[in-house]
Amino acid sequence: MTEPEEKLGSDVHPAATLLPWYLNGTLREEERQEVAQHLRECQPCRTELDELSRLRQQVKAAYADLPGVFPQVFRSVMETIREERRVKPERQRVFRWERAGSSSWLDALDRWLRPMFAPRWVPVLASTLIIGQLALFLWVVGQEPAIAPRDIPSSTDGVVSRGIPTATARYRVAFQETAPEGKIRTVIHNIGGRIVDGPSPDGFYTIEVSASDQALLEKQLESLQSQADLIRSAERLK
Amino acid sequence: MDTTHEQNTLEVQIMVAVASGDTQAFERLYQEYEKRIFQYVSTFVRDQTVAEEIVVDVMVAVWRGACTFTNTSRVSTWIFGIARHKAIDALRKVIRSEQETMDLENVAHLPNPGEGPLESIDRKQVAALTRQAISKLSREHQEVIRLVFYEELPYEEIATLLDIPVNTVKTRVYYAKQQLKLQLDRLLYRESVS
Repeated sequence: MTEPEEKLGSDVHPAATLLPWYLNGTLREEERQEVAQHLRECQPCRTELDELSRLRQQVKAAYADLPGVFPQVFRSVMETIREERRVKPERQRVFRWERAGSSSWLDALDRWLRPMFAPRWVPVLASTLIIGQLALFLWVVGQEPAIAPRDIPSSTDGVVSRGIPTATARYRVAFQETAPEGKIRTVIHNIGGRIVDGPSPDGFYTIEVSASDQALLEKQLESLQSQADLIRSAERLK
Repeated sequence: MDTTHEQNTLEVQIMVAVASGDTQAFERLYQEYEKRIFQYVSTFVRDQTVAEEIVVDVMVAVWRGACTFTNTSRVSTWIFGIARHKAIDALRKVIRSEQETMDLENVAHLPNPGEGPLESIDRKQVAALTRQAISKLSREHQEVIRLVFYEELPYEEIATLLDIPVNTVKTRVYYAKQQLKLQLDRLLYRESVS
């Protein structure tokens, strides 16, 4: 509010200030009833109401008799808006209070999706899907094996084993200090292994591989030991 | 309240059509408001040509801004709000030295001409005298007299439109009515003695 509140004299009944709106019928029902009750008991306010009623009629007549504007005004306005329509015929005029923030493609998506949610079977289908998903989740949880003690990390492990479902074997490998990282990755990739621990203070990594084939393990170890330019030491862990 | 509420509901529908670019709906809105806007802005600016230019500006602004109408107030309040801003802008441009209000405090009080003098004058004369009386009020008083008695706006809407507290609206209308009655009594007294 930009202006301070104007005050009434203490001799003015609060109900008297509502009489203009009592007359034009825009008071809320409770206010209207309060004013009507006050009028039954207050002669000065009834006189004020009569006076306001006469004035209101006079004001209406005074304004109604006033001439309007020249027809050129209407023509000027219509020419302006028709010109705007001609220049921008494609202009999309969206009513903000109806569709705040929506864009044309969102409208199109809305129009496409909305009919799908109209039928009565949709809530039933949605409920069934939710119940089905819940049942599946409970079944999966029920199948989950108990956590084995070996999977619980100890303070000395450093790295938590993610576990390989089949049997695994581990190599203890130390790479040459000059070995490039790219080549180290290639070596590990070629044996299908992954680093699960390390490096230790003396530079050893623990590499885990699948142990389904013992002959393959022997070959892998030989291969590792033969790459002296990259690998300083390689041995199989028991 | 029902009539004005229904009227506003109808006008909201027209505004929806105007917002979608319906020129026929706009013409309907124009016919409803042209004279009302003209008379309302005439309480700010005396020059008829300036007032007509403001009507053009207001109605073009209504056309352009129909999609910004938020429906939190009546359509009439929204349109009169636009008109008020444009009229005040125009008012700032006219000669500031012109004395627009009459200092009623310095005018001597005249005797009451008695009860029922208007019955002896015909309706057109009463309307002319009332217009004359209204023209002697301050701009603020003219404005609220028109908004409450002619436009029949609720006091909350007038408060929104004028950006003043609700109690100020009630007080201003109360004193505006007193001043209007005083001016009418003076004019009637002059009529009776001349």
